[in-house]
Amino acid sequence: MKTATCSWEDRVRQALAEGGGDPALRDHTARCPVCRDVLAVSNWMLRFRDLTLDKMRVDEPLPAPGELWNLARAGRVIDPVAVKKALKPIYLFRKIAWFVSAAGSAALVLLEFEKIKSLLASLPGLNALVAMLRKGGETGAASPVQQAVVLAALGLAGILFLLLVTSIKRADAG
Amino acid sequence: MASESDQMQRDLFQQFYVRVAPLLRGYIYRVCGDQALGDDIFQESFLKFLRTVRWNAPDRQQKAFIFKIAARLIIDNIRRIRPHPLDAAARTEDPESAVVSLHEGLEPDIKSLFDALKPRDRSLLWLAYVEGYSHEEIAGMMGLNAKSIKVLLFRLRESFAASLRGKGYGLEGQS
Repeated sequence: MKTATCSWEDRVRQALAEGGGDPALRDHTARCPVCRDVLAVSNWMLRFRDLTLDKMRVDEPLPAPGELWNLARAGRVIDPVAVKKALKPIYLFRKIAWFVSAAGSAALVLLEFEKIKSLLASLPGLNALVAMLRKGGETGAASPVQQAVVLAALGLAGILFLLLVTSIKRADAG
Repeated sequence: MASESDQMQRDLFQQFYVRVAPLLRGYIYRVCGDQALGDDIFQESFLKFLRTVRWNAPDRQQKAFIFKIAARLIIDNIRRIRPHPLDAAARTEDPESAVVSLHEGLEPDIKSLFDALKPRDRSLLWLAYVEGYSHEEIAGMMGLNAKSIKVLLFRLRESFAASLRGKGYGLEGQS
């Protein structure tokens, strides 16, 4: 569809909305078919606006300006976008804290591996469990108890991983 | 000193509100077609405006700014907007409202045409032909480019004028 335009269009609309128009504008509007259409639609719409405002004046009085002023001053209505923006550094810091703690824990385990190993070796029953798993690994045939232990360990690791991911995601969304 | 400036700003706001609030409310209500949503958007527009307004800006700029806030809030709530006529007079049969509706004439026709449009198109028509904003100003308010606004307004004007002429309304916008 070809669009018929006129460079006076904006001026005509603005003048009509402000309730007037100089003679040059009126003269142009009388000659230009585009601006004649603009004039017609503006007149219809302005009449529609007047009827709307008259009706609303009767049906629904405007709220007092002081009410809105006080509401804005008291900051009773919190802008969620502003809140999110303000809290962004906190969420970012929380995320960094998670990664630092995870990396720190891993480093600690590596550095103190021998101590942890001897501590675990001193726990009653653990040596027997390790021997049982080692035996299963060597023979290739795991007993039902061994399978259950491996599954439980994997399950526990999965739960811990999910908890970690969920808390990071929650911190992001927060 | 602070309270003096606060009082001055409060006075400026009151003057601005008296001039602009009825026009803004008319725009929001006609575009939304829903009184409760319209009330929310009207209040939120002024609260957002008060958080960021610069009172030394020209009046036209301030008015355009609050219309921009309202236009954006309408776009954000576009899924909540349903065709829902504001015929309080017809619904309540309030005698005072009925007096107004006796003089309406053009309104049922233009209202049915207006309500049949998409909320974005209602917004465009109102901002252009009621508030008299330029293509560039409307583009800034609606987050579109000025060329698109020009084309959209041209199509809207064509179909709107044709429909109203089809219903017997004259060239000068009079019945």
